[in-house]
Amino acid sequence: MRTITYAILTFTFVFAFAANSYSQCKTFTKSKCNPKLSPYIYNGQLNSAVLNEGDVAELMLTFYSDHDYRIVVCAAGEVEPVTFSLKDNAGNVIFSNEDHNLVDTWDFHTNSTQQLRVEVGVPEDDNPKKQKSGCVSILVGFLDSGE
Amino acid sequence: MSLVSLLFIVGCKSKSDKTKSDIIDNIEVDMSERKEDKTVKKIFLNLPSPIELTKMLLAANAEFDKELLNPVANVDKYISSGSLALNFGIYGTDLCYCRVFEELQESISYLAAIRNVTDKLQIPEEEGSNTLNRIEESLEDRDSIFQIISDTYAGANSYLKENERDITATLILLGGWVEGMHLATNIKDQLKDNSAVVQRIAEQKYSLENIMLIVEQYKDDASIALMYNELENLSKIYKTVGVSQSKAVVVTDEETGVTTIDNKTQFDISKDQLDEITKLVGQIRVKIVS
Repeated sequence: MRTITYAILTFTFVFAFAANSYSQCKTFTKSKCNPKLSPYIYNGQLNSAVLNEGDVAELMLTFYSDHDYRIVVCAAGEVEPVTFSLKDNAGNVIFSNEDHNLVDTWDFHTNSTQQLRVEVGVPEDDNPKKQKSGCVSILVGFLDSGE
Repeated sequence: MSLVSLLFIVGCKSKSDKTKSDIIDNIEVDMSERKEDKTVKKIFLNLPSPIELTKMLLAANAEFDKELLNPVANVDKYISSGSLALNFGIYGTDLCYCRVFEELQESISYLAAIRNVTDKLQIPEEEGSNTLNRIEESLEDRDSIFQIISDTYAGANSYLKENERDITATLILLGGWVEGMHLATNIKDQLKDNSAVVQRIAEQKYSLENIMLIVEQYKDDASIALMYNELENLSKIYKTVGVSQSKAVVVTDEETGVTTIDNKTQFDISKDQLDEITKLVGQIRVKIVS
């Protein structure tokens, strides 16, 4: 009986923690990341997760020809700044923020339609005793060209 | 994308570890070969916004065709959560189409239908309907209207994920994509020069790959099961659509400062393939809106 009670309590704690983390991540994304997309129009899809150092996240999306896009990679607190790169279908690196002072946004125009992959990484630091962890969001916006 | 092996939830939207992820644009993939170094790899799959597709239809000189839309009167037919979510997506794309073509009165009607659906889906006002009030206030302001529509989707998307209603978020995006395909496949037959629309239909090869990775998780869900065979057949057809791409080069214009990903992508799609895609999209849509 004690085992069951312990399991329920553990589950409740984990569930509540996870739900709270998600809510905090959502709040962080809404308040800190979404404004960075302006004046680009948000594609409306939330890509957020709590990542630990060493973790990698990827976003796959079709980018249409003759459009202007902005990618925002937004990290909270101790995991900031994060690295991100854009790769084509063959895995060729098109852009890496490590070559641009770890910027958190990149604007670009596309000449042709293609599936691109945004790869985000949380760099590991030298302190093995402390595991860094925080919310990371990848947002995509496009420009209303007034067609 | 054969790397999807085992799905599990981590991070801020997870409710438990190592359970199946249920999110259309947010699939977490366990890269088991990387477990040794404790690296977690998450993959988010997104679909282009329906605004992008409907704007292309205007640019292709298409005429507004109300007959192609799902009548707002149908909204009362939708009872189940799955049906409501799919038609949230359908009506969302219809709203984008109406607004892109400056059909303000129609836009208001579709706005009302979406509000009706969000209420039935029990999406709180601050996440859905409240944003919709902003649309009514600024319906004639083209610059802000698309932003507000996107905010509406984003609010619903994040609320549903937060509340473990990931399948509902999935169905909304799927419905929106199907309606975009329905509009494009029908409008292509109304144009003298339909090359841009045909090109955009062919380009959906990539989006459908993402969609199939997502719906694969939910094929036992009643709403997905209803159209899974057609989606699979659509996927089979799209796999035969040829694509070739040159290597991308990044070029920055020194005068404008605009950075361009410069390359060429060629899609090869035949009339037979187009006809089959049109037929299957029609079949899927009928199941959603009926």
